[in-house]
Amino acid sequence: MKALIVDDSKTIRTIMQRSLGPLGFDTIVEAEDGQQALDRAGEGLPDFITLDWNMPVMNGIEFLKAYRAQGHKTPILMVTTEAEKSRVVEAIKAGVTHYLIKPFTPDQLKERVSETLQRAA
Amino acid sequence: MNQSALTQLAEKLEQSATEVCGMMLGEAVAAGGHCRWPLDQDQAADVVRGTISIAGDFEAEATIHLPQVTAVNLVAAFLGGPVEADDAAFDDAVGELANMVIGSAKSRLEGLACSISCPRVVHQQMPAAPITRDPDFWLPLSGPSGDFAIEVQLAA
Repeated sequence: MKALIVDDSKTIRTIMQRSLGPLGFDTIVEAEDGQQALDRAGEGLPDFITLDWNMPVMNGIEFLKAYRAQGHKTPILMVTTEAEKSRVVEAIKAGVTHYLIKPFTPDQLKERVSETLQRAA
Repeated sequence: MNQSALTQLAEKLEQSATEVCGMMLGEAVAAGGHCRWPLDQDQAADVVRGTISIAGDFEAEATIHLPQVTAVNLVAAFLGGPVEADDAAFDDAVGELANMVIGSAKSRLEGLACSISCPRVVHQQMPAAPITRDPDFWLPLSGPSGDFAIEVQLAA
């Protein structure tokens, strides 16, 4: 399975890599912003995406709208500090599959990844 | 509006700092320690700062002040191993720490629609830059990695 990690923080991408490897993702690709994520996805569709909200160039919501507009149904887990109800609703309307608020424990991340994949199955 | 929002944010910052350090770094952090305002000359000259701008119904700049020793320890806990202070990964980790602590507190503000900027990380150069304005809020914090502080300046 192939995962795409989209976050402008290398620290978060490293933490995600550590958690996703043991969950069965044998290929993990990284992107620093939404535009780079669209480019990476264009090189080969991922089976799962983790997506930050606040990023330079193209933010998570803009990516989500552009990606879904291309017809892709990949399960997407948004991982962000944006915890307001209005933000969560906005993300769901834009097509996110599940939502995880930073900060999180490794167990919470693993659980939410599993739930995201189950929802999309 | 800004002053009442500042009171709210001040209450949320300690909570978010405790949660972020506990959940992401495995560190028990609480209010207190030696990083009190005004910083002495040595503290002010040897600090790494991660700043986030808040815009919208409430406008301010919030900064995490990390003495170098504390920053090195916190980043090592964050990344699971030691990182040199001149490594790009070091600044990224400090920026993400600021993003999570301040972003999480911002998200808890009730009745206020705000957005946050991407983090900016600065290593204080010697001699320390002159302080031109007292902070509107200063929260000293302490944990196993050392003491640090969070400052909030309301937009002028």
